[in-house]
Amino acid sequence: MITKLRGVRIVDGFSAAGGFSAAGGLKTSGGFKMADGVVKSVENADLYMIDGVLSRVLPDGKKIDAEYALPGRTVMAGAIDLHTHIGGGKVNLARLLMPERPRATEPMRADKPWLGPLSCPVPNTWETGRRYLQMGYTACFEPAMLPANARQSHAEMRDTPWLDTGGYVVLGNDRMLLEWLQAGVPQSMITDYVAWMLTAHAACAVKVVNAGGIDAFKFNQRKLDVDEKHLHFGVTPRQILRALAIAIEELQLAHPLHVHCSNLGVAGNIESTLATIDAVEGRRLHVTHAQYHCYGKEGPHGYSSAASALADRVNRTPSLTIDVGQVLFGQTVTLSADTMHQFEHRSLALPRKVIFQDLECQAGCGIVPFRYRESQYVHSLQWSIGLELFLRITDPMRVFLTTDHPNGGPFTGYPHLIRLLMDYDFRMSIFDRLHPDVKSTSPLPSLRREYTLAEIAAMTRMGPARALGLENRGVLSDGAIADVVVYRDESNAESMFCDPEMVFRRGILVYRNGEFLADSVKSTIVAGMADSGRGADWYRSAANRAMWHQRYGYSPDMVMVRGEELTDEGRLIEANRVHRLV
Amino acid sequence: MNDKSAIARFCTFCSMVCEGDAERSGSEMASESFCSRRNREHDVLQGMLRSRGRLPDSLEQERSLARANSILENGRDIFVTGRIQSVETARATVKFVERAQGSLDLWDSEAAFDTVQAIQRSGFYGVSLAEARESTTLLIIVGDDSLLEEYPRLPAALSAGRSIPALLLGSWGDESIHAWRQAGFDALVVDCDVQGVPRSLLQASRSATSWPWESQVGDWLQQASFTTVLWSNRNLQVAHGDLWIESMMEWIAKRNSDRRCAALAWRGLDVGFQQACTWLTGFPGRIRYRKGVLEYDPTGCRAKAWLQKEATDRPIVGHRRIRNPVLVWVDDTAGSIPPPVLSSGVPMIVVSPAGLSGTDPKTIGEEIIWLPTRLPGIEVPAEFFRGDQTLMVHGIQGATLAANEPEVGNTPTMVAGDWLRRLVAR
Repeated sequence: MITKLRGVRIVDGFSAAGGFSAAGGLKTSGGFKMADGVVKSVENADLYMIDGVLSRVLPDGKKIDAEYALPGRTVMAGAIDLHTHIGGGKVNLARLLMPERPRATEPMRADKPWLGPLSCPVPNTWETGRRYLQMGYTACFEPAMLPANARQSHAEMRDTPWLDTGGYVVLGNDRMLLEWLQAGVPQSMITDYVAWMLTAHAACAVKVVNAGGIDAFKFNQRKLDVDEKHLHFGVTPRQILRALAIAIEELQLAHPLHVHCSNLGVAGNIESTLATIDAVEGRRLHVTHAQYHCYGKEGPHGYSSAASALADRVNRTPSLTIDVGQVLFGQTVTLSADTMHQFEHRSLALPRKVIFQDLECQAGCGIVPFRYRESQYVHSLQWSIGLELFLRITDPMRVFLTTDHPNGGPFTGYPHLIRLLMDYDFRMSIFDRLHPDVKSTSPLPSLRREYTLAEIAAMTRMGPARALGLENRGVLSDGAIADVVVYRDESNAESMFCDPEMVFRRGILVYRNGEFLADSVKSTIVAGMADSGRGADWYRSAANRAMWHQRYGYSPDMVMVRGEELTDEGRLIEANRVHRLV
Repeated sequence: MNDKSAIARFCTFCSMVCEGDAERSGSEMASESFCSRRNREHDVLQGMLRSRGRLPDSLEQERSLARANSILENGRDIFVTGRIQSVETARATVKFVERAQGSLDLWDSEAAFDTVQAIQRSGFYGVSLAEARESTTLLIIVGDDSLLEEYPRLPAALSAGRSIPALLLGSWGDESIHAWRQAGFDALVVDCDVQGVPRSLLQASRSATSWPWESQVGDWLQQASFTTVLWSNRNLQVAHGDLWIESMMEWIAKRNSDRRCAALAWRGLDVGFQQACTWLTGFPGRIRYRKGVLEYDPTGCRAKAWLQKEATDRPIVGHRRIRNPVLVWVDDTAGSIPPPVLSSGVPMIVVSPAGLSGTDPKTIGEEIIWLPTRLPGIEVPAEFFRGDQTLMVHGIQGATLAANEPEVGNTPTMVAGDWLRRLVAR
């Protein structure tokens, strides 16, 4: 099957290595030009999708099966969300907790009824897949897959149509690891364990949530700083972070340690966030939902923005990436494995109901419904901090567009967020409605940067693809997977990004003007440890298996997710694909 | 990693998903790790002998399917219920209900929905099995002997090999008390009315002098750093179970202000259905599709109420001509169909392993069509949730067990999902 897109404007991501200016790309009549002079937006181009793979040229003798004349349309690769809670125990509990339809924050559009509000801040799997595809997203990653919940996470993601998916296994509060660190076992043992956990749970990365803190909370410890000892095990978050970062380095995983720092949402937590970055001693690191982790203690309410400190660190540290976790105003439900800090926020629940769970000596789960309001000081501050991070970090390949769905707001807010980044006047029109103490102290008005389309492509496509080691995604280059999105050019970026004209998956037109035309092959992205030689020995060790059984009451076989479980009705799941650091 | 030692089998009878190598001996399946006390394996394998000892052949099954589709095409009020436990069956059932624009509620869902409604009104503080096993310093068990009759391996599963104080509140016989003590728990029994337990706990937390029970109980509560309160929804004999759970949660929430406390509310295997239904639709059951729109009606969309209405209304208004009700019974167990269902007089399509064992459909007076299936987790691999909703296991790995293999071998290998996908409605 060969499909041709004729006369399109191709907007691709780019690397800012070499110094991309904070002012963004230089807009030229011919497209968007990088500071290093490489034009990555090409006007009036043709693009071919040949059996699911992209090509800029048509090979000799090949016949085109379908052709679309799309002059003036903008074409990008399928977008990638590397941090969105779309499957697993706490996601499903959040659905259970919130059966009521939330108050719509925006009116239904009579001309495009398919763009109405979500049925729930955490929609069901079908609605999740549908709404992501409608925005041009083709791959999403569940960032907090508890080992005990991994099979469920994959089952939910398998039922989420149109999207390629993957999950990050949550480590760093599992008692086996804590016991080993307490005992001072060799690093090789921890690395083998991490390899096995990745393999057994079909994960593609490792996430740590409040290192050691979730477990400490089970022992009634209510706070754990980076260099503070877990009262029971006597280990510090710094030790945990270091050990996991080394393991990931040794395993050559594409995605660095994905860290939810200590002290989520706590005033003054910028100190522990910077200490977390230091803890991995220069190794690669991804700080997730960074907005929630860069607060100072200054200002009229003892709560202030420390975005500039974190942005400076990111700008100076090429091995560091972040996703923002932008707050968007309206009803949502927050969910996290970080029971320690979610519990602290329980009194803020709206509606007034919460779920907390202590899970399997591995982690926990805290679910707190939340309504972000413009008139509330901290909520306004959070909104402005998120935007500050986006605008201060110069390299769009290292700052990714997320709301930490659903924590900062549902993912359907992404087009609105893109407009906030691309349109200074629009941004200020919202800023004017914020709490007066935020308006009087925030530096946001002075940040006049407007993102370009190429930068948006970088932060939503090529950047996340590179961060996850997905070399053939996120770009429109020859040989890339033909996940392609066609946007109408509109002056309003929100309108443009909330409703693409067409979406192709593997070269097949699956969505056009509000209509879903075809199902598509789904893939599960896994780390692929088989050829690393790590992990298998850990599993074979009778001592390790006995320890596992003693800790959990069942053998490791019970939780092992096998490749055949990732297939559904004959659809091919590309399991065991190796994505390594290039 | 596919060496022989990796092959394991997980017991999918009672929701504990115990682990062990089962062996078949004649018509019995034996494993020390399985809940052999109840001989449920025996029941299951007997059930697999099928209706009147014979499994319909392929041709008969196809005829049944054609008749089922004929009934469904004329049906205007299609209600799906049964004992759905595996994730696969739940998926297929939800899709069928949507296609049929029908209603869906599990049979005997009342206890489960007490928990659901308590959660949806005020939330929940929970703990999983392995966590409770490792972290608990005081276990409070609320209920009666039926808890261990239903889940005989619960004390062993919660035993961490150290002595833990265990407070048994309710009505407990010697055998149950012995079981807890044998598992290593330092069990203290307080014979009391289960209904009043949350109130007593709340009173005690407000004032130590109002403590209604023995002083040792108060000492234990004072000393415990992590308290787990265990009960089983299905075995809790209380009025207004949802309010009881909310009261218990109020006590647990208060207790968490200065120490740790959580509930281990044990559920049956039907949590698999609730989980899958929730991720597929956003709701844990009791749903209906009406003109393409999904409705969640936790109080109105109940299988038992629907059946009762059908049984009451039918002779009076002859509404069958108006509504043409059809009941679709989907079952992942080898159990027989409950008498109220059989006597409802509603045309019925049964998608189950056991069929109509022990029942002569001619005596029912309405058409009952059986579409036989393999037993998930026993005859075919399937995914189940442990009763704490945390762990989802791929039930039965390695060789499958079947009591009457020669007979089954001559018929198609059908699971519930296969039939449900082939059922068509208007």
